Amino acid sequence: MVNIRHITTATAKTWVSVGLCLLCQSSSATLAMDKTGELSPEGSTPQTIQTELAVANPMAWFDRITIASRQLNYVGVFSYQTGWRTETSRIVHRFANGEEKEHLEILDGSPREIIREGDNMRCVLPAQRTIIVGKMGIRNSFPGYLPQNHAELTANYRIHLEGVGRIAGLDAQKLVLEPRDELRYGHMLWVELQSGLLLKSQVIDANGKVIEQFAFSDVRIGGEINDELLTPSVKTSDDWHTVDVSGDHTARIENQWALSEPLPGFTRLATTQHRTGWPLQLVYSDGLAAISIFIEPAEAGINARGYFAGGGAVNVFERILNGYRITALGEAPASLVQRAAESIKELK
Amino acid sequence: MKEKLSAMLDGDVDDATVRTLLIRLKHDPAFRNEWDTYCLLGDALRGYAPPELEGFTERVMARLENEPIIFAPRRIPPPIETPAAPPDAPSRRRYILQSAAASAMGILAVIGVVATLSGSKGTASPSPALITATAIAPVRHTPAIMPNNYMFAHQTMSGGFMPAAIHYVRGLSDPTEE
Repeated sequence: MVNIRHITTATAKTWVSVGLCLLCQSSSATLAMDKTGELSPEGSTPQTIQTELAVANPMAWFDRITIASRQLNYVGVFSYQTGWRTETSRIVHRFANGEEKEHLEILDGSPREIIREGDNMRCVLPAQRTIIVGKMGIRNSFPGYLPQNHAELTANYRIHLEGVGRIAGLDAQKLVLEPRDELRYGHMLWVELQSGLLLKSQVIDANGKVIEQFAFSDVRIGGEINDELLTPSVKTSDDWHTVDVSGDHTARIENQWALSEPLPGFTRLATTQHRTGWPLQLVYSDGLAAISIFIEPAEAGINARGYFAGGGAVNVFERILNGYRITALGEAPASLVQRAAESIKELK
Repeated sequence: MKEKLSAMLDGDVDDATVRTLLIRLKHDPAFRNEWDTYCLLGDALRGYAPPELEGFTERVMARLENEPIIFAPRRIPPPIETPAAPPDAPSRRRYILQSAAASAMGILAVIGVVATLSGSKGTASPSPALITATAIAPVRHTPAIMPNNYMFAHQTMSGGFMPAAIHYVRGLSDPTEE
């Protein structure tokens, strides 16, 4: 077992070094944003934006990241790395007439792709002859919910800027989110200076180890995106299995479930009832990380399966409670995900 | 490498080494035999020597071939501020299972590290005695949505900084590709 004191020490060392770097941070970064704080539509290019503004406030960068990821045109190749596995994907994103279109293809292993048009997501898994469809939930209700919920973020993370680095041939401002406790992971972000596009993201565990990384290796920002690039490459047929995970995200559904003790720093973000007979989903967020708790009737005689690794920073814990299967899943340490699953109770 | 195997049985190696060893166990039959021998020795010393071990791993593997396991093995960090595990739970050897190392899974089961498979709070943990193939087979069930779908449903609701679709890569990672 890893000694908790050791973790604390290691974490402290990691973040002390980060703090030292902060002292010599650059504040020469410039914002490519207009006076309203928004990028102009139609797939803005950095050149179209005039206002320059020295940004010493990390929060302004978070706003830029969100706006840029939605309102820029870009085409790039990025790697997703977790543990010993790396996968490369190509992403194409277009913003036109107020609507986003996105096409993501995983280039390694079995071909898989995701197509998004506005709120509608479609994930194609040829090996399983399966299509998963769903609607964007909270993420898309910009600016209602953003990871940039500043108060919540700063309550749970110490946030600061580091220097400017170079990712995929572009200058990028580095941001650090240091967790204030061991109930959440740390994050490091590299944001393209001119456009605000996030070029690289790392999730750091309590030992200071990178447990998940997304990083562009090549990206073109701005310019035209033709339809061809957004066309699905996998041909599907009618006999494929379609799973619809859409839920009613808009209504805050009254339900009979709650946490017996709160998860520190997390608040209930949403309650979603998937279609009849499907699990109830409770979503808790600390401003950045989210944990979903799925509740559904369990088949008789079923055993809970305990821990699973969901991939990268995501952990999963399953238990059975009074005939219900409780599955907690989130980008949080396994201990907290388990705690979420074990804290859930049925209100009488 | 043999020393590392022994250390792994004692829970004395770090996560990275465990992963390395599991990968090698998956691909190297000779190495797997070494592991079997260590386990057998350990069982014999503890008085668990089974009447019939011949081909045990192969039988377990045959059973596992058809099991829909989604995830890969990973050592679980110790709980922080969570209720203590039952005193008999081998918490130092908690592993979670993934299809990527189904071969290792059969072997791990022999030494009783499957506590987490059935280990929700309050349920009895399996004893470290020999566990039969039947006992270690993951429970087959048909939940309304499978883990990929849980992940997908979660990602539609979670925040984060990356462009939306990139989040979904997490749920789509192909555990068979390494």
